[in-house]
Amino acid sequence: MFEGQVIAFTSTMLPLITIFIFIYGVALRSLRWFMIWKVSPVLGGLKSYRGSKLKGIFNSFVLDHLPSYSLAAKRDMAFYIIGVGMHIIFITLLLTKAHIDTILALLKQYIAIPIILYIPKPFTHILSIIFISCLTLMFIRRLYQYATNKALKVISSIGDFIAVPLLLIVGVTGFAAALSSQLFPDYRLYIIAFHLVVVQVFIMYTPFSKFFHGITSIIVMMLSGLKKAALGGD
Amino acid sequence: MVAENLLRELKASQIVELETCVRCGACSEVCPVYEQDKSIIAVPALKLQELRKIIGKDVSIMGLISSTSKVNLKELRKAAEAAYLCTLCGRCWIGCIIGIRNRELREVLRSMIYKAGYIPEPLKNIDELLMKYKNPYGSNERLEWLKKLDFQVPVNVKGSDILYFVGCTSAIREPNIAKSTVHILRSVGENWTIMNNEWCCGSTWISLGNMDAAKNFAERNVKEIESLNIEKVVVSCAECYRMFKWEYPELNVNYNFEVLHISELINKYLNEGKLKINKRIIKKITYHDPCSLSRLGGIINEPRNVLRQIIPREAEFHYLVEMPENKMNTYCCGGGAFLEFIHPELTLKIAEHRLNQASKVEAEILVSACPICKITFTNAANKINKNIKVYDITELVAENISVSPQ
Repeated sequence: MFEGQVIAFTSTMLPLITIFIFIYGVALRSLRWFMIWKVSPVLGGLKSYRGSKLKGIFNSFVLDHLPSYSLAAKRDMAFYIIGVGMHIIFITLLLTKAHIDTILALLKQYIAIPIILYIPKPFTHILSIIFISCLTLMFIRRLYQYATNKALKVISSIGDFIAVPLLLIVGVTGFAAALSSQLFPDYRLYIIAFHLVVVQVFIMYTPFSKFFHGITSIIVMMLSGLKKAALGGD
Repeated sequence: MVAENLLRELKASQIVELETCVRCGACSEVCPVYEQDKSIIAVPALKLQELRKIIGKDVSIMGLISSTSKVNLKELRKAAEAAYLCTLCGRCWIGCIIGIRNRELREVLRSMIYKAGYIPEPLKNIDELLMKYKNPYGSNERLEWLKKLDFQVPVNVKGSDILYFVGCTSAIREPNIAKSTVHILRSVGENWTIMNNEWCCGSTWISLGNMDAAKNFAERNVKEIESLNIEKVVVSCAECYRMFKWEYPELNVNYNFEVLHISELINKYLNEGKLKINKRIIKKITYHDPCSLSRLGGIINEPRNVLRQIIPREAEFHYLVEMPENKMNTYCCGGGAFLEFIHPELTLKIAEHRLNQASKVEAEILVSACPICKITFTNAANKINKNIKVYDITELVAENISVSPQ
């Protein structure tokens, strides 16, 4: 009986709340952009290009992030590799069969079906371990830098100390869910349900937090790539 | 003060950039001003946060709900000092993992501060000088350098192929660059001219934050140049290059002539054989990329190609050495965007850091392609007794070419 209530809540009720809050947050952000757009409708595009726009955008998304090219990497290689690695693995983990099946099912039936990671694969496990390790190191770095680096201390906000632990919980519960059928079969449903709840908290929090850079950074990287294409330098 | 109007300084795309900063601190790791000053207000990411507060945009839930479209003048006043503690070198853009164009957002911040009347006291004088003399040095003797030449310089000659736009710093503070440039143009036998009524290219206005004046100056310069039916405009200043090439179109000031930096033209002349190097320098040379020419201008290879022809060809790698931070990653000289006027000691520290980089690669000559870099490095080298010669690329070329009998 209780199991049925858990499934019903995490797969029907909660997704609706999540979607509503997410859309509300995005709408608020969009409203702000629109208000600025109304006052200053200039996009700020460059008018002449020395290099290829496509190459500039490609460089901005790929080449510029290689440690040998990145100025940030040259200054703090460990942090750079951990940070970029975490992002790449996060995107990779989103593309696992379990996640895609869930998202597709959600779109089709408007409910979240708790069948994530039902076929644990060693590769997925390794990625999960690296992902959790990277996040842990990033959080330790943030705490350490907060105590020792005055620049990071002054720019840090409370959101920085919420975001990484939240993502860490998402990662740990996801990994636990992947292992649950083998290691904790009796608690499998609860682990998956908890993971779904945490993921939805993450989605709800996204428009109101730094997680939103997952969407806006695509625009920013394109703009940066276009500027580099205009300049045409190496 | 109509606070809403200040929002016009911000482009719609920039608000997205403003909201994308994840406060990782990478920009503070690469910022020359913060690296040398260690003052909290110099942290580039902090300036973004200030701009967010100014436009009434906090990324917290409450900030989103309660935000308004008005500029917060109290926050704007508070941000004035930080906004001008910057050389506008653009290194934070290259250092940002996402690629946030923090430099442009700083220009927005300065523009708001200027319009609100909060610019720092030492810069108010420059504002007046620019208005009155059309250059930031308050000089009436913009053409004085011509008197020291032993040949007649063509002035305002209509239909010339090339116009040499001298720029304020080359004309007033570093006339040897202007002399070297005309020496090169004359040696090649080009059909060239200069203008006797140049105004500042407008970069100083942008550094101050007065975008309207920058646009007025740009329009006026373009109008004067176009009245001479010129095909190409050549500049010897990196700031002038960035302005003509990239900022004028951004300011919606369009023109029908080609803009070249002198290093591009020299490179072309050398490749075509129009210019011949008659003696080579047997010394270790390093090239300092001016921020406005390389990172913000896109001219990276041409000056190096020119220098390769000045050193012994057989030992290029020995005589032309690269500093660790070069090309798009170049380190600022410290003299940009009026930092020197407000914090001269900081400019000195930044320049000293760069000179130390040159010393580490055992360079005997540091070459730049911008009069502001040359002045900044020369002053720093003299103050700290650094045994390194500082040249502008035009000077080095002019000293080592054979003069044609024009």
